[in-house]
Amino acid sequence: MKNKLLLFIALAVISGIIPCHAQSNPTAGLPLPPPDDFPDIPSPDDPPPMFDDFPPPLTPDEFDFPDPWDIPFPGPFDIPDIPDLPDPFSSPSDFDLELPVLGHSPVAFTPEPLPLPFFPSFAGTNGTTSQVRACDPARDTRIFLPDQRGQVDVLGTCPQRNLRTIPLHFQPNGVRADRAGAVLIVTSLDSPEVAIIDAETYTVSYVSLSSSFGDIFASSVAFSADGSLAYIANHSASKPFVAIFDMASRRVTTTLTGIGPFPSKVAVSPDGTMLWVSCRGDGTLHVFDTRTNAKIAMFNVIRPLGITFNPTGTRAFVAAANDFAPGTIEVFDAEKLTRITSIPTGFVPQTILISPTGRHGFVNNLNSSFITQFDPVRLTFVRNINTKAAVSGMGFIRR
Amino acid sequence: MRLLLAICVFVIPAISIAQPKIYQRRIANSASFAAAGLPAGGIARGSIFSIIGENLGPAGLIIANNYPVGTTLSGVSITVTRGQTTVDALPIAIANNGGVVNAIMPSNAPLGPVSVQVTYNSIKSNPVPATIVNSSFGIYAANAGGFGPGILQNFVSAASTPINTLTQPAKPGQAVVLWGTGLGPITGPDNVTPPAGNLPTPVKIFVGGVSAQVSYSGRAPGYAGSDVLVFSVPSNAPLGCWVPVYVFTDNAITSNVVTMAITADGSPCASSDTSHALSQTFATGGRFGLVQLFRSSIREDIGTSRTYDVVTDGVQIDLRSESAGLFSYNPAFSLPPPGACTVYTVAGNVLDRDPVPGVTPTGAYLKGGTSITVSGQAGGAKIVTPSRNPQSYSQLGSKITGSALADTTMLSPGNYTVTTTAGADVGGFTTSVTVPSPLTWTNRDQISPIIRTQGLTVSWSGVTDGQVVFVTGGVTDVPTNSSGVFYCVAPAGATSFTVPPEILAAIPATRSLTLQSRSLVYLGMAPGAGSAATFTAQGIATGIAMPVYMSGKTVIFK
Repeated sequence: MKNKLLLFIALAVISGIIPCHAQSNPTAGLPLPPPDDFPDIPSPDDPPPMFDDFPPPLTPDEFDFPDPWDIPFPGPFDIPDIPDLPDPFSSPSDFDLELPVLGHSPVAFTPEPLPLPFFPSFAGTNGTTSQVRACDPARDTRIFLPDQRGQVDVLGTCPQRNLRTIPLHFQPNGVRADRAGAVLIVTSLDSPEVAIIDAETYTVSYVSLSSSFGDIFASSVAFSADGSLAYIANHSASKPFVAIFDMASRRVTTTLTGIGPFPSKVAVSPDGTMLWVSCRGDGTLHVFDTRTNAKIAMFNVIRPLGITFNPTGTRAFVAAANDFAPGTIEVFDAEKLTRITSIPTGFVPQTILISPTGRHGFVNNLNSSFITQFDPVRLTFVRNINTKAAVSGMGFIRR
Repeated sequence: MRLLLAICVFVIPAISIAQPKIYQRRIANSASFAAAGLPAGGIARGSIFSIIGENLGPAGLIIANNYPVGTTLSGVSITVTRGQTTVDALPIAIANNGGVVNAIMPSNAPLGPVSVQVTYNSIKSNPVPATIVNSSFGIYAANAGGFGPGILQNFVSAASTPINTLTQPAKPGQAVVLWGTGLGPITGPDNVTPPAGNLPTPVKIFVGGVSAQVSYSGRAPGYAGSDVLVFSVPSNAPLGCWVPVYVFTDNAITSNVVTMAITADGSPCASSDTSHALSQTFATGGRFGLVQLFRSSIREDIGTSRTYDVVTDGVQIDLRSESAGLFSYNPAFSLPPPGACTVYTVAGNVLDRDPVPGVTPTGAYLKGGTSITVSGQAGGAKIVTPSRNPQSYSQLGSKITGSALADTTMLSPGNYTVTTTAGADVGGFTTSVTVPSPLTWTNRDQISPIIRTQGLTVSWSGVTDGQVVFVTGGVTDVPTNSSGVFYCVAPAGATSFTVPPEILAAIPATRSLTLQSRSLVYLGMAPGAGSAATFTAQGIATGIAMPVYMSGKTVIFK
């Protein structure tokens, strides 16, 4: 044991504190007489260093991913988790929503949806809304829906109603709310500008994205963690980049280049440290460090579209669309920046949703009449939920 | 042949020059390993920090052996950049086949958010964010994981400064040397042997929650980047095998919490505390079993449109073998002595899914039966099959007020019988558990928001003799995937307890966006040593069966 102890001391303390042979009296000068028997120094032949002294990692037999009722650790430290309320998709008949075919219209929600309970719902273009089951008026959520007629429809979810139509002078492609739900950016593939909507007053201001960097036709927007920056993908074959848009000055300050053609989606990790960009033009996925704007990883993914993270940011999920075959969700370890597995989907998976608890995942399939549900913890397919038509807009609302 | 040669020429270099990769959120104080999202997650100027990743350096254990320390060690260099300012960190150890690099953060490193990048053989890694602070102390722990028994030396005499262990505890009044890193910058160079001398960083040390007198806080002479604190064990410090010790610097940041053994006369620790019925059994090692019937009642009223009371009943059978050791420690059994608190900081989502580290056995989990029957006095019985053998928690029932869910709870106060079938390692057994009336948390609905600098006082009534009351809780900061949880044991007979500000300083604040945090406080009770029921079974030497009750509430920590 003494050797073990000495080894530990040497490794946990001394190995980080050099040079070893120069330390004949480490407590000299302290208000204590120095010990004579100070630890030895490890030799190169010693066993591996301190990280091998960590408690061994749990094996699958020892710790499997818990089910919703599972308690993670034994003894007095058990902190029972609140169980999920009933799964809204417990049977196909529960999913009796009218699901109109939408345009290329990711929807935005404000205020932030809350976790109990949650289920995806859908709202359509042309004023068509879905039928949602019983809801709590206190949880009324606004849906901002880009309408191909050149407007943004603002819908209330409880009761379902049209709250406002916000006319635009371009055809919107997508809309993104910041994390606080205070500001939305509407993009257009037809105009080199974005519309910025105040979520409270519904006032619209237009900002030209034309600058020394060239025209920008925005395909996707993501906000930084503090909302001060917007990352805007320039949907270009010849000059693709991500523009960094300063929300305060309302101008493009710089660009992130070195990505593939036709960037289709940008997403910021929950802690704000990484920006992921999918480029459907050449089937590449790019990861940037937001502090330095340096590219830190690149992956090949067949026609990558939507990107999302689990709430803790440990996993990134990327919708990969095959041209003539069902697609997949490609799952990445967002900390080690490695690909983990694939989860099968329908044709052309697009928007991936992960529930606020990180336990339920859904993806719409643009060319299939069903939504795919998957398990973001076990990283497995759960089931396909039939819909009346393909769904292209999807998000969680509060019930 | 030429083709083979060409392949070798082009393939071998490609293999040997793999790009270094730093894992995201894996830069931490080398003693505490506090996750980046936690209050102590910053890297102190002048401290030793760890970079974890792959291909960060050569294989084998490489240690810098000479002063002055260079900015390159075996081809590995590290830059720390903020804006236009870049400094070189000092690599001092490379381990785990290039998976870990330990380095000294220069005392002149720029404060605030920085990017850290490793270069190995001229190939740069990805930049990874970190935050540089003046001080953030980490105490070295025996398991090199930042928790459990710390690296402390009892000062007996000039010739005898043994490491504090279960067999060599300190005694009240004794001087102790604590090892760590992160006290703050020094004015001299970091790459040479540092001189002795107190650093200006304000320091407090708490032993079992009692403030200790500090006689030295500064660099360890001769040990660049490493600090020692010399303090006296307070005369009124609680005794026990696992007395929490933590350091509070700059009147703001709490270190990781380690433990030390303290006995009245310095004799070997006998785990005489009563915090957990199996503490003694765990400390001495062996094969044992624990049957627990849980009831938790959680008030969910943060981020919800109405108040929900969620009651969950469950059963857990934990069968394991443990090896005794000088540094034996397990968060489930090595509880603080009455009146003290500890903290676990974790890179994970502890309040939702991930385990507190260190709960796995030093020996092995024993395989018991896969069917558990819980029978109540009212005649009802439920048979559950753990989803994973052998230590799974299985739900027995639940109830949510205001929902259409049926009430399936069963663990009302009364007598219950738990029976399990035989498994490969442990025979089948039957034991009785008496569930007492639950305590009443008298100020549950008045505690939130909790101002961390003011402490947290909880009050209760209705606890019978032999029950140990504990207060636990914490925050999971979801976007950074980090958690801080505290665990306190109330003194016997108490009806209130205050979690001190220094403990709460170790957990993060609740975020304003409710989806980004999970914040809870629990008040619970379980039988102490001598009060829990016992059972016998083939394959284990000791069996304990107990009820555990936890009343919880969602809260906001500010």
